[in-house]
Amino acid sequence: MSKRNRNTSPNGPNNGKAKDTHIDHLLQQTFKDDLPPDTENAMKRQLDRFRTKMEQVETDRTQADSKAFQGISHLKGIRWTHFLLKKEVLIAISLLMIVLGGFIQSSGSSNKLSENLSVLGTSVVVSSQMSRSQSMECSIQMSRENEKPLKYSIQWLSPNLSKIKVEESDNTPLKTIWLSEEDIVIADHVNDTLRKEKHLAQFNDPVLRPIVGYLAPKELVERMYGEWQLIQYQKEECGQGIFTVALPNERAILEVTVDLCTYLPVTIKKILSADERDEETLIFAVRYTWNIPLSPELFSPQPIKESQKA
Amino acid sequence: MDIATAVQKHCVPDQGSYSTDSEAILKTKETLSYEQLIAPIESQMMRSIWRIVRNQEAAEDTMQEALTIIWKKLDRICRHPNPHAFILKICVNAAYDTLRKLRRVRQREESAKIQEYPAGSEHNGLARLEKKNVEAEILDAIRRLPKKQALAVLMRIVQDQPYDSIAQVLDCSEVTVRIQVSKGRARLGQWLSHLNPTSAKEIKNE
Repeated sequence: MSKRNRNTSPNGPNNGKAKDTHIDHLLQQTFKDDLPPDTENAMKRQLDRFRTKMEQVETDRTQADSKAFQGISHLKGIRWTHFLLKKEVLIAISLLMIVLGGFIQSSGSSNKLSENLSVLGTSVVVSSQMSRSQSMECSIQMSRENEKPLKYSIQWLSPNLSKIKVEESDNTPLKTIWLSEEDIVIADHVNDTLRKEKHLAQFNDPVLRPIVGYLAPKELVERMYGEWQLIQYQKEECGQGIFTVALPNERAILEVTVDLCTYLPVTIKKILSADERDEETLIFAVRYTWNIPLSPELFSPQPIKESQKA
Repeated sequence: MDIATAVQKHCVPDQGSYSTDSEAILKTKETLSYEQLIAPIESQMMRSIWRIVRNQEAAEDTMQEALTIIWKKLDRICRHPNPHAFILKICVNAAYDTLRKLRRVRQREESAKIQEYPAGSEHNGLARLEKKNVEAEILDAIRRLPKKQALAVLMRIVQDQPYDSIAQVLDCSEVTVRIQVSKGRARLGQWLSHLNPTSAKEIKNE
């Protein structure tokens, strides 16, 4: 730029200001706000189409999974051999996490921890908003002594629909479970069978009964209010908080690590409480990976034997 | 909850790549709804485009162009600290591009209009022509500005956006925006000085 160009107000600052005002006035006159109604209507129609397009994407996503679910649930007369997944409690635990924040906040309101915990109330809000606006995914891998490691992939597709895939560690599919408010459909890929169940409340299979309370958020909340107790909160330097929840009936505790930025669970460990003679025993450890494709390396499950050694 | 807070809370950090591009697009584009992103600024978007383009057909094309860009950049918009300002910047940017494209077309139209004015309405015709010429000169001056400077001037003076919002969407500091606007004003002042009655009086007095 030349020196002449830089000199914006050769006749003093007031003259420069007057010029600025004049330029502003000229621009506002030239670019005046006089949108004609017919142009406005035409542009509104374009925006409406855009709105439809945005909404369609979300609808398509949820519908695709809903249709798949309906397709399966309409099948009838399918023989149910047996449905045995002892470790499905892990799936339940991850659902548990969705309401854990709210539970901790509510139940802790009367104790000293409440000051530290009030922030966790956000977790329920965030989780519910996320499940409404987009699907969430969570993968869990766990191994236990003398048992094959299993991998669980949970997708919360919509508030009323969740999909749980159970695979072996080499990605061999074992079961797919669809959970909605009305139906539960279990596809057994090993025996090539499908079973449809009614509402969770009517899910009377003795093997599954213990976990029904975990799978249904309402019952889960009741259980948390009634049985479980928050016993400790510890804030870590790495931006994570560790909550310790007692499970008196099981003589165990849950150590839940939560990311204090997103309020989503990072890890959960179930530990058998130590008594005078015994050492603490790690029952299982789960690492949560949110909205990331399954990656076994991301998990750090430890078989009981190894954890005991540690 | 304001939009920035909503964005912070709703948009899950993209911590890894998705299995397919379409899946990624599907996921990221759902983070904020139309009601949150576009609906509150629909009117501002339409007016921003119209005020710069000032031609129905071109305005519709520009809106289409802007919406296409918004669609492509939806993920980025969702994560932007000021999504509304970002969207308005896209609109102004598209309108500015259209303005440059329209230059030749407008010149042809203006010369054609000169031929159209009937002899009986000479006075009115000349007045309108004069006004059109002034507008054309101003538009031309805007076109001659460097793009970033032009955008800063249009967003500040025409859209009346605060400096900090402009800085956020132009990805520079607030001071830089103030300098850009100031320089833009100065250049326009120089190029359009003959349209300033004060300057004209000064010239006459001299």
